Amino acid sequence: MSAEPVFEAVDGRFVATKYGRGPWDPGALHGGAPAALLVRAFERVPAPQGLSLARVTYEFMRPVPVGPLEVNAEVVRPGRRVQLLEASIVADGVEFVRARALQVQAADAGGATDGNAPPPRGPEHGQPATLRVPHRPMFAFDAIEVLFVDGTWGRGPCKAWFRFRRPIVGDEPPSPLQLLAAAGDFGNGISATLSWDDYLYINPDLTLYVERAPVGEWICLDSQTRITPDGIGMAESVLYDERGRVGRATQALLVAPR
Amino acid sequence: MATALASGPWDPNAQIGGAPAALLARAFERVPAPEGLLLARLTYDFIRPAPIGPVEIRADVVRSGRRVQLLDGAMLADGVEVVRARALRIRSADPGQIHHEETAAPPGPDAGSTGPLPGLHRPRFATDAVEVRFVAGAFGDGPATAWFRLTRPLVGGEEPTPLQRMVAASDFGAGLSGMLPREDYLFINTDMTLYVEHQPVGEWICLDSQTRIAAGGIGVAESVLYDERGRVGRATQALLVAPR
Repeated sequence: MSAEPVFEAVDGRFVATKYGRGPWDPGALHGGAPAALLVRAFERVPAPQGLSLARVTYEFMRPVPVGPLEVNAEVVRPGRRVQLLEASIVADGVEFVRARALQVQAADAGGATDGNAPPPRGPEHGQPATLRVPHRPMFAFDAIEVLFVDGTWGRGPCKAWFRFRRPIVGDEPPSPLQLLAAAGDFGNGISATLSWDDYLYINPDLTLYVERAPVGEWICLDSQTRITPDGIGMAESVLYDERGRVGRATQALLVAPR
Repeated sequence: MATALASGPWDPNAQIGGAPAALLARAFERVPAPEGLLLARLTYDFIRPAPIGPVEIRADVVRSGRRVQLLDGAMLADGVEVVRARALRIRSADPGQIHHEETAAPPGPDAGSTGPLPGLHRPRFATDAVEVRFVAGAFGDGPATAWFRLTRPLVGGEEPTPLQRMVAASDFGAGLSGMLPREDYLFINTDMTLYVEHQPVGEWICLDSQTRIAAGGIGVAESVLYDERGRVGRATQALLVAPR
């Protein structure tokens, strides 16, 4: 990957480029870009051998601006078998995203493990889908490729494969976990049931459970968005790599008429 | 003051996760919400065993807006954090204006059976503070569906709220659907995330639970939650699975 990245690393900070932008506001990032950047920060915190990422909870407090950002990550509760980490994205002293990550020792169940649930049809069967969005570089399409194997954008339950088209930071090859986090934030977008012209759909959070470390360059989401009897939205996505099920992403949604 | 009724299956001196989780939910309920905002998520990290005995609870607003509010809470014992929690509240759209979905509940608690629970000859949360009715499967033998009802007050002299009942029940997902023999394996939930789709009502909460352990991965228990009207949310727990 020699393409321009989503974030340039400059003097210990990260400068978000136009390839991180969301579809609506040209000055704000898609949630998937900071989600991947924070996973990268968690990956770089030393962990005792044998621990792997089990959960990340993101709280998107404010729209993340295009431009320079600081990322801080630390262990808040060290442990040999379980660790709790926290990270945030800050600019000019204002916190934009907070994330908590849990690392857990890989299960030793004496071989009593599940047969891996098989993945949906592979990306070679996928179809790109057009979406009526402004013609300018953005995270969806320009930084991440989306191929549908069932359903299409914004028409309810669907399945789609995601792959990075460019690095997240500098010229580093992005990790499968960074892709899992970036793709995980697309569940509400691909499976929306209400028209974007008429309704706001904002996800103030994202929870990722990682049942097994993903491998390869593709991640699939099997997504469904429901409007609950409480009048909020809930997007749930089962996550797969090309070998099988790897986890679940959940987003609570603020739904409001525009 | 946590009593022996809060104790879990692994250590008579440690609380089961459902007890501190419900107590933190109670603390969050007491933080005023901006008009029209409803609880959407609770996330718990069980950092250290919560002891039987005196504990402190704190709950604060981290960020408050017209449409979203974020809360942070913790349980402390002797000044040391043993549980951390976050809560997210979101403004509810007028459900009359938007088509929403309701999912029917499994057969009710009256249709369930009082299946055997793993025996321990001491007072503890699962057997002495909770009533259980199975409608599918059995305790600790793979996917199972069961109704739970708190039979004791969470805090002395107070009727537990439906939310506190739901949180206390949710922590049973891993125990309910775990497949490993407890004599040989630990499967301890290190966290719990609850997404709330419908503010619960009533005393009974049903869990439709499944535990997965991927080869080379982490054990995760998932429970779809119901009250007697229908689906109210989902609880997820990451598990530490190891031979004893």
